[in-house]
Amino acid sequence: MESQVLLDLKDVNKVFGQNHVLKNINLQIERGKFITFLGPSGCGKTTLLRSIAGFYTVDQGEVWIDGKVVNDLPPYKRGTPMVFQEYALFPHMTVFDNVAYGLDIKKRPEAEVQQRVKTALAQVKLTGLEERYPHEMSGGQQQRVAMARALVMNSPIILLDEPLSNLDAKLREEVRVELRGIQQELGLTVIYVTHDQLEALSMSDYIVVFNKGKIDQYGTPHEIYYKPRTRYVADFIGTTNFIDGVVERQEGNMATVAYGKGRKATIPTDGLWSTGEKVILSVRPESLRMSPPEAYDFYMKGKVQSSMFLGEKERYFILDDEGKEWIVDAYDIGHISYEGEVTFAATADKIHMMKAEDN
Amino acid sequence: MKEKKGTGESLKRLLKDPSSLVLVLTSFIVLILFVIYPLIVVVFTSGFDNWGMFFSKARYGKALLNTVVSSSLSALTATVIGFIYAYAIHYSNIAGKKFFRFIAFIPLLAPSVMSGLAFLLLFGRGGMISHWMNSVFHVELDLYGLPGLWIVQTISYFPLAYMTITGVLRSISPNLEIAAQNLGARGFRLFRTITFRLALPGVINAFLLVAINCFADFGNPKLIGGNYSLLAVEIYGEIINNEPGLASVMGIILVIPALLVFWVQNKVLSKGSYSTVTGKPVSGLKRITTSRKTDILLFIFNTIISIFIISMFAITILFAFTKNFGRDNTFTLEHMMKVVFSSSSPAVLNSLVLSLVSAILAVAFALVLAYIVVRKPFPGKKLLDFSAVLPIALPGTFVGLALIVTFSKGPIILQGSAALIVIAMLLKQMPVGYRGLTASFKQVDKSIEEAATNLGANSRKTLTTIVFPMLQKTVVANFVYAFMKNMNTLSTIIFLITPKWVVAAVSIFNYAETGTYYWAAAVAVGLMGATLGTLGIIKLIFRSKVKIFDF
Repeated sequence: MESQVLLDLKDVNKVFGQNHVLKNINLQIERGKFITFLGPSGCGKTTLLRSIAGFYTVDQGEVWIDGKVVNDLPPYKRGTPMVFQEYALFPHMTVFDNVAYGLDIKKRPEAEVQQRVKTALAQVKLTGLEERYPHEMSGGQQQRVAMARALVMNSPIILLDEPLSNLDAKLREEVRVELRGIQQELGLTVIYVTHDQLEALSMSDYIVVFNKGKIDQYGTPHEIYYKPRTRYVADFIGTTNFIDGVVERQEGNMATVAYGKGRKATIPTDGLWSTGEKVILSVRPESLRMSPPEAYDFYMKGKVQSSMFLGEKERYFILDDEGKEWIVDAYDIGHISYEGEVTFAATADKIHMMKAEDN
Repeated sequence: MKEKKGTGESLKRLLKDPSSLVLVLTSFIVLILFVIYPLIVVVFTSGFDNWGMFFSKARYGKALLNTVVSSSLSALTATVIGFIYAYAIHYSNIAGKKFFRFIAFIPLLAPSVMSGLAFLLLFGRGGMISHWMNSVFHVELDLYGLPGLWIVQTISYFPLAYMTITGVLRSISPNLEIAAQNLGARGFRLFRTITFRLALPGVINAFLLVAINCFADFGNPKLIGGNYSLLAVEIYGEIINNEPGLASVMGIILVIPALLVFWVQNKVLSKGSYSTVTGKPVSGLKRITTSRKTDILLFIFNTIISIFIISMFAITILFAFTKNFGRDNTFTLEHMMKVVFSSSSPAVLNSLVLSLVSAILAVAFALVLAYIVVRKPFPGKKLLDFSAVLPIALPGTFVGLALIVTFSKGPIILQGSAALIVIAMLLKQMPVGYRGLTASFKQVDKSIEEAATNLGANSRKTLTTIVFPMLQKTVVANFVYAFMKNMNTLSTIIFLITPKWVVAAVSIFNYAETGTYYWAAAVAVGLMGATLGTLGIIKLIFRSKVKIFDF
């Protein structure tokens, strides 16, 4: 039986000069999943993608694709078609010839090439534009040609290197939906590199968050968003409020944490904590509620410093009575606007607890 | 508010601006007098009888055929060598790339007739290698005529092909080759389907450029052609025989392919250029397209070409500094003193003075032209632009011919004056500067000027504090280019020189023709020294602002 694992990275290391770009990367990727490598520039995500494609050879560790070690295979033998950020369409070839290029190299019979190119172009909705040249197309169309050129190879894996970064915001959203659609329809394994958290959250089955050459977290978009494993992950994805705290005791899956000047909260947790352990609590702005009933577990008083209207929500910057700044989002508020002294709170289940030293 | 347009309106605005009016009128007068008028004179001088004569005599037909054959052959080999040489530098992992770039630059320091001279010193009758072949293998080497000309033109024009092809190879985004590798392509397949196809417009361009240069080349055909008659040499003969009519016919025939090439470059090749659509290269990824074996072959190839070029320069230097190299190898400065540093042989000094004056005037005129064409409204702008660019398409031989035919009789006589030499050089170099400066003027965004105006600068202040400093690099680059070309030109000025105003390139040619090789070599060395010295001074003045000696 075919193994479920398509791509297996074992202790992968890559060094450029003084720069240790990939540090002991271990990752297993299942067939048919949409995986996103997420992180700021310079975090190693692109290097890892290029190492998978064979443009870089890893200095240590093994890259397994479909049950074979591919460390020593040059790019042209890897079978890992890639969509480049700059598309890299061949300007002297028509759309048809661009898409057919990889098949021609493999010397596929003419009829098969015709059929497969036609199918690939239909998948990216470019039927009828076969005879155009890249310079006669819009950026969005060029992006689709690049996608078709990778799809046509019928390779089990497709690599995408920030493919949407040259499109405008509206188009980007459209293509996002389409890309995910194609991936699910064809059951493709896609590795997608981006620094855009929204892209990652909206498209992926799994997200790999990179931090300075290491993987900080591997999980579903929900896990990454609501249960970040480190402060770095919580900070990189969305906006959040951090509170330093110390564990007082744990009873089952409830932990009591002391924070601020003598405040306490009892928070649900999956982890095991020891008494006196330093922790970080994270509360998303949208999990905090303005003017709540006093019954909330996590109840604060403060003074509105400034606010910002963002369309679907109003964002408040509040200084609490201990001098800490908070960000609180209020949704669907109509004409209500808070000023001066306010109260705000979250229920305990919205508070996420992480290790403090894991930075 | 929309600007009012139309001839009447632009004329009205011009009349209100006297300084611009003067610039526009002067430009028109200069270009009409020295570009348009001589063209008309040449056409009228050619006359029906002379055209009849040209086509009825087998001798001229032969010269035309010979010229087509030899320039096509030379262009082909120069382009192939230029391509491989450039490919090795830009696509392989060979060592010594800087050195190879330097080697391709040195021929630009010398007139192309120096290649002819060096060839004679090596392969001519009694040449070093001919002599050696004869004494060791008892082979009589006779390369005069087509074979010799082919070799010499290939070597002297390969740097032109190399530079043109380098330009296009540089513009190819590595992304494309990387993408092709990602899809499974490699080796010769990758080269054939991607790299070569993308470079093709540049390769064709290089071929055409070399071909038209060879087509109108005068010095080497005269020196090495022997009995193999060629058009430019025939023109020279007709001028000497005082047959301006026949010379004009052949001059016009020289111009036709050049104009065709000019048209092809502007209309066809510019559309076929792909460099602009591919965007910036992926950072951090290098193309790896050549194998170890290919690298070794490319290295050997470039080394052979380099040895060839070095030996040509080396033999020239040896001849310049020995009594009579090969027979008497005693070191001497005698030749240098006699033909370079003596007041009775001012050829090198003449070259230096005329080239500097002409280059300064050419760049100044180009600046004025570019300024008024880009920034000022006036009627007849298209005509002015056309006549400013036109000389770029005219072979030097033709420019010289047109000037001598036009200004040796009639209302204005300039024959025998240094002015005519300066004008000829200027006409050849000004269009290059004009094109570059027009592009630069257009790049200085209107909004930058508007920003200056917005901060209180008037138009003169804007020009002097914003626009000119931004153009400085282009101005200096064009001056350097014009100067080097002027120093080395032979065909443009061969008809115009007088005993008083002999220039170095002509001197090399004359000494080489009469067999006084050591003097020819000494003048060549002096000329290169003068060029290098001047470039050195320019580099010292402008430092990093000008790219000279950066390999």
